[in-house]
Amino acid sequence: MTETRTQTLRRYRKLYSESVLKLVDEKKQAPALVAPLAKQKVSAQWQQEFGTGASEDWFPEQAKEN
Amino acid sequence: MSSDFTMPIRGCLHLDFDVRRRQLLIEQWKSEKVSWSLRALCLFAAAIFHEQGAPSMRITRLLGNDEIERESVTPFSAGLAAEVSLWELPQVCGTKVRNGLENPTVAFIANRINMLFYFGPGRKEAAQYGERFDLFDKMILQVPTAGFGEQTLALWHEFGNIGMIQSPRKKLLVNE
Repeated sequence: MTETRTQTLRRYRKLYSESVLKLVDEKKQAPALVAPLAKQKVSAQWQQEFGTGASEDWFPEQAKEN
Repeated sequence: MSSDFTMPIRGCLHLDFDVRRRQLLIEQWKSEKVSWSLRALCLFAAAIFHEQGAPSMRITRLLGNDEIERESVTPFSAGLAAEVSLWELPQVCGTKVRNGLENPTVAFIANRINMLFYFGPGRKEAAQYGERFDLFDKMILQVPTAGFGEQTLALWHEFGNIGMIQSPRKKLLVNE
């Protein structure tokens, strides 16, 4: 069965959440501090699955400049 | 220079809108009906969400203050309350939220908002969540019709001009 776009985004959002909670447990730091690391990890997985060119819309993107 | 305020800006808090009602919510948020105190409350709540590891805070509906309007099918914004999804919070994401149990992290967030945005004695709460309100997967952020009390007003200057209205006539703001 093929996964829909929404399901993919949800899966990645859930992965990210789990990653944040795991890092909080490991590092004993606040979620805001470990969030960038969790994002990096999940982002790497996204790139592995969809390639480096694919836009990562599972996470609100940071604008290039104001 | 982009005038699309829904695009995230580096170093700024990001408000997200529900996909199904995105266009409507954006129109409502742009309109002057949304009170500036609600804007400040939403951005402050987004900061607290961010602190808990959420990438953004998603607004699912903009509401008025009275109960009937809250139940209505067509959401009309009186600009005094917003319904917020809790799915973005890592502590909530993927858990079964409709089991009638309060999530301790969300209860903590609601308490913090209530302490910061104090309605006054014997009145409603700015962040409504939990068993008393029968809200487990959503949180309702509400501002009083007549404004907050002095304690909260003392904080307003900290917000800068984030609460100001963004419309073509009254131009300014954060994202421009």
